[in-house]
Amino acid sequence: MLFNDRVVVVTGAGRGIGFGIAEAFCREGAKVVIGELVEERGAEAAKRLRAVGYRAEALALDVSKPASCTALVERVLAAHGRIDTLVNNAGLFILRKSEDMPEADWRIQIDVLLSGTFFMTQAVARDAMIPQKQGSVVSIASIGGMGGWPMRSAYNCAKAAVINLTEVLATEWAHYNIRLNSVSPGVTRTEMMDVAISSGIATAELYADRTPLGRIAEVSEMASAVLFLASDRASYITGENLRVDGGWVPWTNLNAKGFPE
Amino acid sequence: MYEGMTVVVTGGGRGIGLGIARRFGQAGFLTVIAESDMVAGNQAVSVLQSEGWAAQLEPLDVRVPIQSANLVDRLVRQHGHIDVWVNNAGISKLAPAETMPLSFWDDSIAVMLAGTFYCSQAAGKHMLTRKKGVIVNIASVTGMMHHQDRVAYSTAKAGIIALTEALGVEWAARGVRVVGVAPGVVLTDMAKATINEGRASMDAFQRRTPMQRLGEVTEVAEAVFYLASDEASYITAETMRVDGGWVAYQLF
Repeated sequence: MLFNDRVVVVTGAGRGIGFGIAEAFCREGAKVVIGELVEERGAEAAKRLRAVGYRAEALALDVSKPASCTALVERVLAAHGRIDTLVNNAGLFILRKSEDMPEADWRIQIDVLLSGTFFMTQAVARDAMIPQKQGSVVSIASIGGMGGWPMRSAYNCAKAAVINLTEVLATEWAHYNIRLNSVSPGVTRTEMMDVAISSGIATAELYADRTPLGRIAEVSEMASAVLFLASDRASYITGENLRVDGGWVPWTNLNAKGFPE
Repeated sequence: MYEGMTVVVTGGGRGIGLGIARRFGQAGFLTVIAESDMVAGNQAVSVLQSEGWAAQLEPLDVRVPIQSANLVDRLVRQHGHIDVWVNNAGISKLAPAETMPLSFWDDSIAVMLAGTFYCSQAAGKHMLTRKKGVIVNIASVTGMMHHQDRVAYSTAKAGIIALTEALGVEWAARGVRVVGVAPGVVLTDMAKATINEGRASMDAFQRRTPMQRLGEVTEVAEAVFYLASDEASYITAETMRVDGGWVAYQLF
């Protein structure tokens, strides 16, 4: 097993892509710590994993608060002595016309997606990976971070910044034997996407038609990319942003209908 | 798990290509070394077979379209199908741009860019009929960032990255994924020659790499194998860097 007895922290792993990632690490033998803002959701997710024989626990985490990140790292180190892999997955998404974007909606997306990724990575590196002189970090970016999508100014800027942050930290900490990479998912079948569809801003068919591969992605396809980059199989890969997007970004869709407002 | 599957590696006789062939062999693939250098090809096949992997040699000059077309036909007749095709064949012809012999330019484009397209067309045509297959192109960080003497190599490699996107997009809905790997500096005969010619030093390569070491052939091969596998089923039209942080590093 690729991660036998490795200690893996996944933020925002109570559901969606994060839960799929946590489950995949468990399957490869890892001890998984779920960091969740919504404590009951985290506890429920860990319980589901333990119920099938995996090693998983949940801890409260607000990635936008450095003290919360530091506290989680401290508890994980007290229990397990090390952190081998961090997955920065926690996120939220608010669709807003930029001219009407309330300050609070801008700030919370930047705080969680960008600052949260930095604070959590800083805490894990400083207290665990740099002293260990070993570790791997995978941050969930987005194809939204690689181009312009209307009404997503905060989300897309934050994701673009996550890609760059990954490059900066990869160059800065390579000599500590810490690798950092990002994965940019395309549209993936999750609760977050269900919200977008149920709120009427898009349909599953629209997303599938916009994708060269002709379908949206499954959570498991994101998880396998994260596991590959986090594992020793990717020992010479650092500072990379891997698109897992079915060809979305490089495609010019001449039949574009435009996204409904 | 991969028994009965066939992979073709162009330029598989040495260096990164041989490493890729070995990785697929270890997984249970029948590995076809497609080589223009029969001496290197024969030796590679012997080595792979002595390690216990199924391997066969086929002559191929990737510059000649009919050769890749015939090779695909021959292999399909023989084995039924080709599951993975790795466009790895490459040459390194280095000279200052202003005085570069035009043959360096022509050869580089012919082998790496045109050759990759000709082979992809031949293999892709077969894979599209099965609605199944993966083409992996070996690009390079020099297709993304540039330094002296490499105008032909860099342009060909940049073309491979664009080709990967274009073919990936065009064939995505029909079951054929097209992906790329962009290695940083890997200690192969090609890199050794560059060092021996005095065009770069090992020290300079290491200092420029955040991980402070060159890549291993096995590390590139693992990335190729991952992208070719079903684990990467949603990845297409994408080139993944395996470069120790080379491209991410923009300060010096």
